Amino acid sequence: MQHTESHDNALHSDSEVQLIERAKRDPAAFGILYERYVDRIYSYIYYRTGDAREAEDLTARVFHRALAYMPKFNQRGAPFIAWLYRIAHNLVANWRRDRGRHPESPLDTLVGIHTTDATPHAQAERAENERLLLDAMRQLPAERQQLLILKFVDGLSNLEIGHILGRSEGAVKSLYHRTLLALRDELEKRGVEQ
Amino acid sequence: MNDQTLEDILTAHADALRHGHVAEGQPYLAAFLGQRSELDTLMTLAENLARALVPVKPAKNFRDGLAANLQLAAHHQAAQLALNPNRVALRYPLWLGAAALGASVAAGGIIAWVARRNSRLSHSHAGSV
Repeated sequence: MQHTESHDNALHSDSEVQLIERAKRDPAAFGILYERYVDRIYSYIYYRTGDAREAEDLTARVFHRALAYMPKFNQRGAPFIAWLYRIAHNLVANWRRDRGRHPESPLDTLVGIHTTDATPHAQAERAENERLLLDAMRQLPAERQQLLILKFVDGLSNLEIGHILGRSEGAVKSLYHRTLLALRDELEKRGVEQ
Repeated sequence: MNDQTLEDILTAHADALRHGHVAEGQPYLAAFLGQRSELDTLMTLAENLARALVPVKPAKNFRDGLAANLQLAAHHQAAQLALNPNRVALRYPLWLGAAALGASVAAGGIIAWVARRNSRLSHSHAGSV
């Protein structure tokens, strides 16, 4: 038992690079990586699909696939989370292709929960606006959706986003501007007032 | 105002939103009255995104269940690797070998087809003479 505790403590104090190397052969190390990143991957998939059940299913597939390919994983400067996002991106792309249509935005479990100071009518209106906004966001190219999710959900800076997307800080800054313009155009096309 | 300046302002605004320092874009707009409309629209959009895109967490039972499943799978995988450590290393050369064999068969087929075609052409040419 004492051995297990010291093993766990050693794992928690490992740097990310050491932890990843250990995770290739040590299930406990992989468990720590899972705990570290599961919420972010779930959030990403949730906003890409707009469906909590699909987000659970795809999150499970991301981590099972990561586990299967872990022995072959090669660190090449990009953070481990970038690899997980890439797996998630591919699975979401397959999911969208299989469905052949866009989801019906069941984001109503989320929107409106942070509007307690407004009247019920104002809350409903705000929830509807957020639903339309997220629907429009899901029409953008995958990389632009990822940029918005990394910026606003994960709260990352342009530099950190650049590490994940494999772009420079300046390129992310420019992409953010173009993403806002594209989203504005998409909303206008749909007749949504912001 | 050029694109570079616009991008800088939007980034600064988004950073402030991320840190919860700015609720509205007005302080930024005061300095750029000429482009107020363009900036105003994009900042309002960013503020709406910041309100809509909040972190979400998976249900606890799903999270714990998946953790348990992954641990089982990881132990199984570790056991298999311990039993056959060369499995992963062997797979790549096997693929390479299969690809080389496939390429040789295809090349052989093309050569045979060309040779047969040439022989047929020379026969028909001899017949016509």
